[in-house]
Amino acid sequence: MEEKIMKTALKIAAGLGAVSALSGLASTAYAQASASATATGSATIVQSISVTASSNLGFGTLVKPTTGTSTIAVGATGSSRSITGGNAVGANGAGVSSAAFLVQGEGGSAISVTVPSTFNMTSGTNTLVVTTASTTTAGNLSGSIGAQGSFTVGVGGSFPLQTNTASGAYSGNLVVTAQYN
Amino acid sequence: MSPRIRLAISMIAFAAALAAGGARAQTATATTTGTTSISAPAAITVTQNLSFTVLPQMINSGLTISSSALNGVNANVQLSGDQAASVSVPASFDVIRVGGEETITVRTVGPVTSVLFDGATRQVLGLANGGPFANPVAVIGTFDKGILSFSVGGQVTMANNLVPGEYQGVLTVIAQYN
Amino acid sequence: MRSLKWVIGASAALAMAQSAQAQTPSASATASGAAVVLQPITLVKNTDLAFGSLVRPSLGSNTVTIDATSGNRTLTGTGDASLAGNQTPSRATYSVGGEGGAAFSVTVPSSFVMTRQGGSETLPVALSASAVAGALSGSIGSNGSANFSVGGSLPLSSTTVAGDYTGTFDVTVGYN
Repeated sequence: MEEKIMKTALKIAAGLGAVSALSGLASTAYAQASASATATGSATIVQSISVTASSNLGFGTLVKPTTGTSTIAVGATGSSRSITGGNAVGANGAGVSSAAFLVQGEGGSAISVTVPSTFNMTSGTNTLVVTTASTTTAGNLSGSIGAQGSFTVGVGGSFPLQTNTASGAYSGNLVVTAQYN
Repeated sequence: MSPRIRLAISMIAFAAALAAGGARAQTATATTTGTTSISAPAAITVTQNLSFTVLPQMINSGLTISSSALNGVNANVQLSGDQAASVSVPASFDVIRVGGEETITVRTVGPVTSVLFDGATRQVLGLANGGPFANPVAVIGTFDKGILSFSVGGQVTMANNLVPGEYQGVLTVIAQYN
Repeated sequence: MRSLKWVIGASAALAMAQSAQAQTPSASATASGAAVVLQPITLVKNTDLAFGSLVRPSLGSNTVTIDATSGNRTLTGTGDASLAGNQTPSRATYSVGGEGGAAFSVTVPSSFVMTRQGGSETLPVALSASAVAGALSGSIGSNGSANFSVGGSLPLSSTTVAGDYTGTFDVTVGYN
């Protein structure tokens, strides 16, 4: 800040003639050529933005198809699984969940959330590529300034399951970022 | 700098495909057959008892008297059963004088006749003929389901000092499912 | 001496606003994604359920049992039925295949009916399984196997019609 003041001071001084030393400015009178302008400085203090994962993305236990390719999908909300194509089936209904991310920060603030279009789930050296689908990723935190507000993003996804997909327990990380606009 | 605005994929596309996607489970089924064969109990019926009479002049003669030679009557036995069975007749049995204590050993003689009846749905095998039978118990044959009738005769050797009279005893014929 | 008052110009204010924008913080969070993939489960029947050759009682009633675990055939009850030896009795046995380590459950009907060949008389057979749940051998990523068997019991009375009886039932396995 101090630096800027100095720079500003030099600018004004240049227009009025050379000066020998900065320290001497304060004692020199330039009554006729002075000019001043007033501007307002303001800063808005907001609470930090935060995001937490309140739910993981779970596809549950699947039995791979014996014919065709099956698309295994979990919705961005509702924790429901669908299987289309091929003849894969769910072994049971356990472990199915939509991922959810809770963004918190200054009420009313405009925020945006970044969800990767894909992420990998791996089992040993085997990989399943999940294509994500999410609810709206831009909006305003609830409430208004002065209090904490929140915004939720739901994330689902889908991946293909084939007759030769390697069996195993697959897992991976879905990283979501949020920031104020 | 990453884009601030991102197009959100509609949730509707997933909702439409939900339709009981997780309700069907993969199972494997095997069909099993249960079986059993049930038979009626093997039954033996004595339709005629063995009996013959020793005349006084035969005593001390040393002759061997057979029930079939005199006006004797052979035992007739009828077996019935649903399965293969084994039949045995003892080689001999004792008879005791009625009203006394004297005993005579009667040796059994193989069936004079054997008649096999085939059940409506079962096959029947015949008995072996002949006799006398080996000591102590002889298996005189097997039959495989149905009704089997056969006769058993007796043979007595006239020993000294036989007391005339009526003698009685029990001849036990045994039939068992195999 | 007069001193000039220095005030912060508008340009400085602008500089402040720009710096605030460049320092806007972002936050990240990580959720996990997970899926378990299994090969299909299979079931093979190895032996059928055979009670063998039985002789009904002439008096009273009896029960003939094939033990699910041992396969032993026993006769209980107060009647004079007997077990004949000209047929080999057997429990029903099964082999399960599928993903190593996977848990599965077995569904066996509580009973089924055998009908006399050439007739309409029936025998009710109560069924029991050596296990209703288990886990395939090995671990996920490899083939696993398991076995179980089924036994049963049936009633005999003096009025049970003699003959050869037969019937069928289905056994199912599925992952838990």
